[in-house]
Amino acid sequence: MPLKRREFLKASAAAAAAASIGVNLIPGMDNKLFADAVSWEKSVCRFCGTGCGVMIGKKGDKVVAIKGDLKNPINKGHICVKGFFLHKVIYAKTRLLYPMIKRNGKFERVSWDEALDYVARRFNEIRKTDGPDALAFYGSGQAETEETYMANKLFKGCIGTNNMEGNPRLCMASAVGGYLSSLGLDEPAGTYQDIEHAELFLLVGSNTAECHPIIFERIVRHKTKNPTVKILIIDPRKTPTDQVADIHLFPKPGWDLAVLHAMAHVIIKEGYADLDFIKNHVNFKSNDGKDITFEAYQQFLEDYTPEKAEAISGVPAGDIIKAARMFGQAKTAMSMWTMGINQRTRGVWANNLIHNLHLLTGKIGVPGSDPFSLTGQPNACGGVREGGGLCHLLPGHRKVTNPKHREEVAKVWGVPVGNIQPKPGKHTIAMFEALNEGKIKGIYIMCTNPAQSLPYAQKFWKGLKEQFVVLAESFYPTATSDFADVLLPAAFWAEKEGVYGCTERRSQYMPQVLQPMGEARWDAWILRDLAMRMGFKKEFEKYRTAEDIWNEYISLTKGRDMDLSGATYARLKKERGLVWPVPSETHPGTYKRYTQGDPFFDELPEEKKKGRRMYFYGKPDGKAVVWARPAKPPAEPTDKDFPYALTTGRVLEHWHTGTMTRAVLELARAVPRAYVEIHPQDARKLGIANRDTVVVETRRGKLEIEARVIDRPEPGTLFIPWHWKEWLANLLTIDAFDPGSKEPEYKVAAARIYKA
Amino acid sequence: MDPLEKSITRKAFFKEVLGWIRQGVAEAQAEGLSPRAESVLLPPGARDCRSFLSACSRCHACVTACPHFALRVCQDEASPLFGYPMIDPRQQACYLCHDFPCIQACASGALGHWKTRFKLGTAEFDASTCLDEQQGFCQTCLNHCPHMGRAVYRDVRGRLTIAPEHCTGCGICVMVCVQDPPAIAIRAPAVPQPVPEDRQTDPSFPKPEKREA
Repeated sequence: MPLKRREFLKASAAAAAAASIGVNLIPGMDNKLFADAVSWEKSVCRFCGTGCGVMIGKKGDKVVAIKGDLKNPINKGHICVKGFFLHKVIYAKTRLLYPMIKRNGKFERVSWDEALDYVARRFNEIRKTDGPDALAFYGSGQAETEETYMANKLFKGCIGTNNMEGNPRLCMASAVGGYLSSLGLDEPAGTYQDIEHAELFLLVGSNTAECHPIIFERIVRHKTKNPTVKILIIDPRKTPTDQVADIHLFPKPGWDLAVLHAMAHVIIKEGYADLDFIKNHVNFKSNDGKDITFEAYQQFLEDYTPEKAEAISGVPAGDIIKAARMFGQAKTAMSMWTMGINQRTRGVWANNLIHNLHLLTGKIGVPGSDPFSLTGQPNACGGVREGGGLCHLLPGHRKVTNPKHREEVAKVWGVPVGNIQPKPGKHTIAMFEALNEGKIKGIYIMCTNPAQSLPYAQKFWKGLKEQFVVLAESFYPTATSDFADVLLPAAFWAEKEGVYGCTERRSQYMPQVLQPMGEARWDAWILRDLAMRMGFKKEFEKYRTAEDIWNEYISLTKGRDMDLSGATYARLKKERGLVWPVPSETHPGTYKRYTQGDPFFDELPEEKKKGRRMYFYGKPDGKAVVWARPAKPPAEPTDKDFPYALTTGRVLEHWHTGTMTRAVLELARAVPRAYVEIHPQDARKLGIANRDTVVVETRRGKLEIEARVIDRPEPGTLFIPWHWKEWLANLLTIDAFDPGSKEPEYKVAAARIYKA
Repeated sequence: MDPLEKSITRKAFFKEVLGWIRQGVAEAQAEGLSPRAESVLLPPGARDCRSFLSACSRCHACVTACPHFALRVCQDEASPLFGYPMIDPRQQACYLCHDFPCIQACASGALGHWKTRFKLGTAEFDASTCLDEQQGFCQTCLNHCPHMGRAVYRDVRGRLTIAPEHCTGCGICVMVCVQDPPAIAIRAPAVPQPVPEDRQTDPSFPKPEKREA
């Protein structure tokens, strides 16, 4: 058929247009452009505790992309570089696909039945011969609430040991201690919404830009719109967070308690204290717990004038006064802190001192004012703090020492109340020490990597090597898998459904969009099947879906301060998370605790609320506590032999022990290896050039590592990121821990450095 | 007669319009291929491309001297730098060592302590691929910049910005960028683009010698 030029052009234009909108005009033409479009499903990011909403892009049966969830109130569509590559972690080559048992020093692939029977038999043997306390569980703030709940029931309720810990002990325990002792109940009173109302941000011991990038972005966006917003940083190291700082105080690592006291001193001296608020809402207590008067507290602060604080901490007195005035003058202020405060032998005290600043100035309970602790792990708040995944806790902010709490939990679990021991179990460091000594003979480790993440790690390898270690992990090899006797493949993020609870008390639902890779299974089902094989069939056979576990858990939270009973799966699937307390299915969630709008505050009788805008119902008289804590030095101050203070931390591109982020090529290329940051002044003195190989040595170990000469740490300070098992920063860190929270002091160790 | 009023034939119209499209496609293709080639940098201490090319003896002493393996021999036959030492920052960026072993090793005088020896170029963002520009939060380049906060910083609107007066062009940002191809490139104005031989206007421009296979 002769085709006119005009017709040909017309036809080809039409075909091109049709192809671009996905219609086939030409028969037989395979239009692939829109044939299998990407479908999006909302979920929560797997990395830090910010709790960003992400959309999982699925094409066919493969996850191909991750993007920020525009409707999520936390990140409003923004997402950091780690989250961007989350889909590549799912398909990492290092995924563990089959159950394996170590025989003659080598891992052999076995069937699920064989692996679980073996573990159940060994655990029952240990339980019979050495008692239930010879068994232990070590969980994670990355496990879902449902998973931690199952482990809790199995170990505390059925096996009958309180040796049940989680890695939040290493990151959040001091913040818990701080909240409990100062405000009476765990977890922040405010939410992220306060960021948009705050006039001043006090960032203490937090590299927000690298560790909580989206919170940092919200702060930057807020400051951009309101240039009068002030940002005040207290940190011994200059970090990318400094981009937006108005003033930065550099205390010597571990000596910052005096700085916080001096700020309180200036605030009271110069009349920035809110005397009305203090009168009605605050008690003063000395370090030994005795009530003292406001005057006595002022007397105590006389030891911490800015000049004296300068002598202790090395921060110029003028800067402290300036910072204190900024804090006092701002109408609203929000404090944020993470590991720089928590991972210390005086972590609880440091937390108390931050709360003090807010209580003295009344900067709490109003929009824009809150002492707000940032969490490092996605479900440390939800699963472990609320779910009771530590040795002294039970689900719903309950304690094992309280007989009423034990009774309530035992009833729901369907176990005799005598099964739950009234004495707290061993905390993390004690637990791994008991493993070394052979007092604990079998341990179940889930979703974490203690061989790399424990302080003074090499000390605890002995116990891991000698005792029976079961490791449920999604990745292989990890530092811990070298020591495991049984490896159980666990389903990864997006291969399981469940709930994550983030820093701001928000619980968010994650759907299952993929079938688990290989023979991997959901941790909760591994625990259920193990429990049934161990002889707890009656207690565990009722769980058929994730929702069963969640419903049982939220029934336990009814009436507690962290009431989640209105947060059903049906609701969570629809909404972008709910901020507890959510006492009923129609309740929208609570923005501020202890004040109007909090269902528990609203229920209080009028005479209690009289003359008060806040009522701290965790304390007997509803008053928060300002603590007069002395400023104690770190466990290992620097000296002549070890003149440098070593601190460890994260970088933006990697996360924790690197099992996930190091599997992503793009992130691995950005930061391929560990390094030690050293100030140019120190480097010149020691003859160290950039990229030289140096040895960093502490009393516990030494590490050969590349030097990075850069003016980020202060002179006298060294910094090593801890994500690499090849350059293991935790060979150097100290295992001394806070006597209150039992959280180890990762952040300060005395070290020396020399050229290799 | 006004050229706009001149009537054109349909043939001429299509010829011209399709010509624009063809040109656009060709340019886009060239752009997709070129970022790596454009990012190739001269060794530190080179004054400008022409004097470097005429003075360098291609002894590769600097390549041997470089402790970080940043200096390497250009293998790209199409580049005017073919056979000469160069830095590809995506592979390995320059750390601008304080004692410059490359300059010390140079006997020909191609590398010397010129006034501008620290500046290898200036970094430039490609906003269309930068993660930070697209609802993301990524500041890998900023975190790794040796002059963090000065050479790369977040401006008053919170956007990543480069200060040309502080940027040394070392290329560490290009090396660490998580995007592929990188969303940041070093513009080194001293490196001329290859020009076809028949359009060679500058007779003093040294022609690359083809190595025998």
